[in-house]
Amino acid sequence: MTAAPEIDDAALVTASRDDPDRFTDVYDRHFPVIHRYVAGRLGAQAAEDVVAETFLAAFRRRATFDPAKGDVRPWLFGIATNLVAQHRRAETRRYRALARLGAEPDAGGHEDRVATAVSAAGMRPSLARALAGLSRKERDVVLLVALAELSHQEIAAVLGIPFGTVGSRLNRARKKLRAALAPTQGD
Amino acid sequence: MDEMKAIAEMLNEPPTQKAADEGRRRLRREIANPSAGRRARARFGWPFKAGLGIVAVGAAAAVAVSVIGSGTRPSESGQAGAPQGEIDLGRQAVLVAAENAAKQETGKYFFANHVSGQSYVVPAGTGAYAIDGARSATFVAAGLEPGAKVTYYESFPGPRTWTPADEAAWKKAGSPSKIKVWSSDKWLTFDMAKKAPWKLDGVNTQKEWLGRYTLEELQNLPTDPEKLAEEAFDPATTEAEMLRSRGLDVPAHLKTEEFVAAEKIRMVGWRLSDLPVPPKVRSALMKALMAEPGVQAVGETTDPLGRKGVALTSGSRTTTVTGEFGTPPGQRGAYGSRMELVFDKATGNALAMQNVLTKPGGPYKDREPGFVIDYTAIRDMGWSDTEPAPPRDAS
Repeated sequence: MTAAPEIDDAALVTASRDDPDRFTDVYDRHFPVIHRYVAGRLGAQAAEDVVAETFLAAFRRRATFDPAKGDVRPWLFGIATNLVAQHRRAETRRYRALARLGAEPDAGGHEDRVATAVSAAGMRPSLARALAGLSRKERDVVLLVALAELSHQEIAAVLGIPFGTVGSRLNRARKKLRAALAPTQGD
Repeated sequence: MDEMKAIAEMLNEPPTQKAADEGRRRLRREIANPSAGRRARARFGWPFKAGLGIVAVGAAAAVAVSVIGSGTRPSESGQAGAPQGEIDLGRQAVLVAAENAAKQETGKYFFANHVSGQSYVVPAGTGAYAIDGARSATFVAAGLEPGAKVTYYESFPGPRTWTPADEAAWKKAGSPSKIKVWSSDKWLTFDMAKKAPWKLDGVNTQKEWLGRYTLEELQNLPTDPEKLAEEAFDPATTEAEMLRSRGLDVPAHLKTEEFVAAEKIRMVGWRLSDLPVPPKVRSALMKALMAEPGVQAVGETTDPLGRKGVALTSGSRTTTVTGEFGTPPGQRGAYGSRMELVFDKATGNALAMQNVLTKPGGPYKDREPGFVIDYTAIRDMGWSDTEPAPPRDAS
């Protein structure tokens, strides 16, 4: 029994063109990170469908994946980001709900946990409200950093924007977030 | 404080096993059975859940009287599969449809007009009734010249009651316009008054539309049923084999004859309903499916749009609805159903893929056998030499 040599992400997608079954491995490798990103933005319930759709869309488009243009992970995040954009209202609703949690403790196990975790830092409601207040473009950049942990270079590729623009959007968003979190803001 | 870290912490939603499994299951289904186009795919994958049936009465009657036979290769002899020298009327009827399918004319465009729905039994103090809800329709108009575009339209026709008896029970309940139903793991509310007209959904390339095939490959599919069976029923594309190839255990129910037959019915259903498969190949696909173990021929049935047809069906499978996902107690329990692919006998066109109740129970305990639990019906399909567009009247 010799273990199959570890095949890299891009080679796996390429191999799946002729052998579609291999795309299941693409799923297994990347599901956790894509889920973290989508569920973070839309909540666990809406994420279930959007994450599944992300991989279905990627599977159908696998022939167009070009390793020369970037790695598999940013490619998947690009697809996921486009799908998330179709649920903008759900996303905003989620942030508003999180913002409300500090003021009036809510039912619901998970949200309670979140409330405890973040309000321990004394900043959750303002942070959630600040996120809801960002523009879509700023939010894409912020969440690709915070949840997807992509580099600026990768984010530029995901969003199809110049490298420098990633930095400037991020700076602008950071300023807004910090202003919302300033102690004088209270909350 | 690093705000990025705080955001990540605040938004953390640990993935559930259920979400991971569900996504993988959908992907595997897509791999096994790539359907057409972006939106179309989500919808055309023949339904796994349940829908109500149409003219449940007609269908029930048909189940009761239909002559069932499973077959050997039809190419050997028209009557080879008939038991004990009797003529298998179901097989004969499907063979007639298959011969007719081979005679269709083709053209420069291909079009298909599908509608899918799901049945819900609505409890009411004055008597339960069944509605056909979550309906969605897709119209695809595909140019077949190299590089031609494929245009999708969609509409959401809104819910309807199934039979005159259901309509009467709905009226007795006060003709409610908003109807709340339990759907797998959540409550949905349907608006009986809601209808939506066709709207343009988008344009795809031929490649996106056809999935694993090219137009040329479709043209060159074998017209011999046995050769075609090798291509269409490639074991590697079955759900069980996909699990096995990944070193996972294959649950026993995926290996039953009923499951495997239903899987093959879906594979053929997709090819016959979504793809411009040449007429002679359509005919061969029907014969190939009829020869598979566990596939039975039905001489007379009714589809969800009330059309009479002949069918190929799987054996009955049992589905047990538990309280695991919060299903109300009154809807839990086991029921039996089978997968039917219905054809028009005169043209050989596929009319519908339907999951039909065989043994009442669980959510369908007060329904009759023949009740359609869920379906995709092909309202119209074929070739033309002018660019096809959705019908103007109905959505």
